[in-house]
Amino acid sequence: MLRLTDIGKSFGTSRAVTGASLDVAEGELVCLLGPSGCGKSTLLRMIAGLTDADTGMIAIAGHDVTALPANRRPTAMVFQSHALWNHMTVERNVSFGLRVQGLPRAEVARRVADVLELVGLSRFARRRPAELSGGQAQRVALARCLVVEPKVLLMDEPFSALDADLRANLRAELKALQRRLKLTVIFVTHDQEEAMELADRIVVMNSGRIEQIGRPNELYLEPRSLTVARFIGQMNICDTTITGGHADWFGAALVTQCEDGPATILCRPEDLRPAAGGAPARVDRVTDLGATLRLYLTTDDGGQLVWLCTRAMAPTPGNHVRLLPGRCQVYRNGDRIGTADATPPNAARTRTSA
Amino acid sequence: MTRRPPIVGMLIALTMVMVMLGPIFTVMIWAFAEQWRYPNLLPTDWGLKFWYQVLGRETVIAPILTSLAITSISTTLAAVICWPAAYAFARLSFPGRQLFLFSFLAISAVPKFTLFVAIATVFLQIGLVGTFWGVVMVQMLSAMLFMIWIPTAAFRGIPPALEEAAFDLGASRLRVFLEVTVPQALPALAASYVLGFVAVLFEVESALLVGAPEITTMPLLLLQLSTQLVVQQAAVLCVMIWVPCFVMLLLTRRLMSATGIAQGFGA
Repeated sequence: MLRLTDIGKSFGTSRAVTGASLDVAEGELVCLLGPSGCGKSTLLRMIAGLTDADTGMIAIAGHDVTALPANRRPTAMVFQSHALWNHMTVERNVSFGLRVQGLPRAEVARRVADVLELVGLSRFARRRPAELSGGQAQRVALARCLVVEPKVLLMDEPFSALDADLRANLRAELKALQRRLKLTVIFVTHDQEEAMELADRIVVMNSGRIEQIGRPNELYLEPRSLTVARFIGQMNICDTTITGGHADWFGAALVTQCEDGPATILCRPEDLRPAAGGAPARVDRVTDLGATLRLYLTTDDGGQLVWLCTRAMAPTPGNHVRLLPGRCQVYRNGDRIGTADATPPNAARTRTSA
Repeated sequence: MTRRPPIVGMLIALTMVMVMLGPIFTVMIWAFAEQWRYPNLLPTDWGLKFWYQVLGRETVIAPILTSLAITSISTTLAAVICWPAAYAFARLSFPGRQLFLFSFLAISAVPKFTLFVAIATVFLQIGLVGTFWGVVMVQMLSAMLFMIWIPTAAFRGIPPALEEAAFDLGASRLRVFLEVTVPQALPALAASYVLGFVAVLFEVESALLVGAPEITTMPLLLLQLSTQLVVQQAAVLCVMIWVPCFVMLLLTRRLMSATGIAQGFGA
């Protein structure tokens, strides 16, 4: 449905987007995820036609739209600020795109009524946007886009100004709506939890470049670069050296197939487990997350660890514990080069069978 | 617990109102006073005698109509020229933008009389001195400052996303401007129109240099008659000049909220 080929954009001497290429299938929800200033909104605006691309090609449904202005592209955008017009009622806001198309009044009225019902705002049709709550306003903004039936729906951090509960509700509503209507959506966010929950695929961006494209679990389990690994979820980071297939991890020994040399070993907080021969560490503080606890620890050699564990196994602050990681990802010069384990697979099998 | 009324604030407000409105009320009273002598605080005789006298003079009605026509046309033409220009200053990037914008401010930085003399010299050469359209053109200058600066600030204050959302939904640039931008900026545009209208209506120097003696506006009439009138007649003429301004303000007030007007003036 949407194909971006080698898209680039500069503002003066600053490169906002470099060589961005992406294919989005019909009915797919893709999240552009990255820190502020990474170029994700600029890329979205280039898809919309609100910002011109310096290089590359944008094709929608097989047609090159790179040179088309925003008002001639089959896209519609939901803005972070809602961008509703306060001098118009909700109904007039939603019908704007249809009136621009010059559709008959009866058809405009029918489609507006349908879309307002779809987003649950039928009884607010005569209100002004200023009389709506943040969530209602965002629904109107969504309805205004849906009513014109765009080939690609673009959403620029639409929920970022809302409180956490409302955000979660709207995420669920959007996902259900997207599946029901088989919408093709590009959703920009800097919230990785939002991206993990919503996206069929996530595009992680950093410094104007696409770092990795993949399904949420792929990005979480096997981040291709250190940047992606750090951005998606929490990580325990250990800078070490691999020698003869072994690496020191805060005093514990790991085995790896990676070549000798300096490396950065990453493991998730939930992948740590207490074990004899693990890295010795002291519990500094505990954060209660309800179902689980998050422990912040300092290893004997000064490293910092975060451990996500159940209440049953949690030690109290000041206690000492020995921790071993599960499968770790190994990086060199920012790129993933392999994995490392606390115990060689053969040894584990031997021990189990024994 | 009852809150004490803000006495000091109220006194300051009252003083300001008296300073601002006192002279206006005095002139209003004079316009309807047939007899008002010291030490009476208010006139002893009220009536419309001086209104009949002023309106009975053949030379008065024509300047009133001329003034209203010139002011309306000048202000409207200034709006037609300046509002799109203000939008361009606010939204578009082009070489010399700041210089052009500053040039409108420069109109107020030099004594207007010298500017009008220069314009009158040019108008004399092209035959516009002593003509209705000559006065219309020269008086547009008085409205332009308000018509550029206030709308430029207002257009800049409109979030670009509001316009982008309309453009993104398929609207042309003109439609976006008319259906989204202008309504958003309406309080400021109305405020600039009112200020421009009042500035043009009270303009004396340009009308004197370019229009007189063929074209006589109300302020010019007041100037011409100032030595011949009794105080009540002068007051009547003053009230007559104020009436269109009050009408403008009332119309604006009916069209939009007080907050909207205040926003238009930058509050």
